[in-house]
Amino acid sequence: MAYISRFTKYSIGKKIIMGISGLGLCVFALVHLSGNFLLLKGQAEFNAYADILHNKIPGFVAVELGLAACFIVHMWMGISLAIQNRNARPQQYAVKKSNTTSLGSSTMAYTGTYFILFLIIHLMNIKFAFLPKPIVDPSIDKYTVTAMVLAQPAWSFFYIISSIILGIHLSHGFYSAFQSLGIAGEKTTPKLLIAARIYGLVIAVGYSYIAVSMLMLHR
Amino acid sequence: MSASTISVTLKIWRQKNPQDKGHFETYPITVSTDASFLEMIDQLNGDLIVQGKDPVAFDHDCREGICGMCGAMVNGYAHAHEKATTLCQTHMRSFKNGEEIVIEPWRASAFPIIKDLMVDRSSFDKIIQSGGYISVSTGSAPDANATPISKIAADHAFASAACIGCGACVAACPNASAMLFVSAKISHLAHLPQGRVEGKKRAAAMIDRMDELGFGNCTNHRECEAACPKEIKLENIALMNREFLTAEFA
Repeated sequence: MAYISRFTKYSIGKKIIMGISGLGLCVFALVHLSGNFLLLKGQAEFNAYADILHNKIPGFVAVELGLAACFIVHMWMGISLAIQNRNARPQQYAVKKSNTTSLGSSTMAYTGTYFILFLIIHLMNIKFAFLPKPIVDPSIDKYTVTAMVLAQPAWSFFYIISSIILGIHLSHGFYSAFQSLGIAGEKTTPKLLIAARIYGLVIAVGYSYIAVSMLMLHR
Repeated sequence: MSASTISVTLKIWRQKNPQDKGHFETYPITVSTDASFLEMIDQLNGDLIVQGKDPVAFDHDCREGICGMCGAMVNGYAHAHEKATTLCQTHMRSFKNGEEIVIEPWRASAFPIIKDLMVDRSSFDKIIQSGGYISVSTGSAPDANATPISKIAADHAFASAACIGCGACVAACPNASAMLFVSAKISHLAHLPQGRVEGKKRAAAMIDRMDELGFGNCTNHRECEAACPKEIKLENIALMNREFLTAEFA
């Protein structure tokens, strides 16, 4: 514990933890997306997948806890760094132009904060079947819950917007994580910048496609 | 060569002392297009002195683009809009006739304003004092090439050593981070065998001092790299992070 607190005392230590937790979340976003495509395959297939994840994989709870830890640590480090950044320039410029700042890089704090709120709502209505009133039937399956949510245009729209916002966050975050971990160089940086944009696009389009398809199928 | 002139309106930050709140003042001026940006301020100051007014305080020294003393935000760009150019090497021919030019000091809590456009950059000196040097004995006047250094390592070290410590990276960074400066100094020494001996403790000590002095943190906007008059690369920050990790775990 003392070692972690010494490591996170350094700005670079915080950035490295931010990068590791961020990459963990990046992997999760892709795995979650690929699993969710089974929603388009059918009810039986998706429910079988959900059953394997939650009931057949030993120690899956540990994976979920690890994921929760990644979210908490990523958020904690992000807030801590953002406070230091704000204090580093108490008086803003009257005129400030950007040369390289992208939509993703300039909105990280906002898109990150939005995503935390999204995550709470997402867990409420899919994982805990609260839509927004609770569904008491314990036998309700994951596919039906998801279909009930995404069949409503307002919810579907919410998921599409959230997917785009997440894609914007990751279009910078994916590159930034590698840079923070020291995995960047003259040759690798341009490739990482392109890879991050493609990754962000895949996430935004992939999740949006599922939301639109489910709306079309069930409305 | 015929010299032409342009008329511009200067909107300059005026601040009497560190405690003063500061404000913008507007000055119309007609100046030769051959004048450098600093010569233009010299001309303005000449006029202000004749009028019995306080001249604009600004930092400058070599006026050759190599000392790192000059610098201001001009129309929102550190060292004005020209790429890889210090403010002293920016000329009035790169501005348009009738243009309004907003001139502000570097703004960062680690660079407190002394007066007008002058800021206190001694925080950079304090970071260097914390480890930006070699204290091991490297012998006296060795034969040339007695210590083998690859061309690639020498080029990387030289490119990083080109940093003049002007502070444009901090000024341009949305977070007022000094990581490009610190990483250039770490990288310059890390590529050379003489610098490697103290490499581990250097990174941790310099990063610790940088944090203490109240600079912000890099969020990889790359604004520092774009503003740097010596084109110091952002990859130096990745190297600094590797040095830090090596110091912690190796």
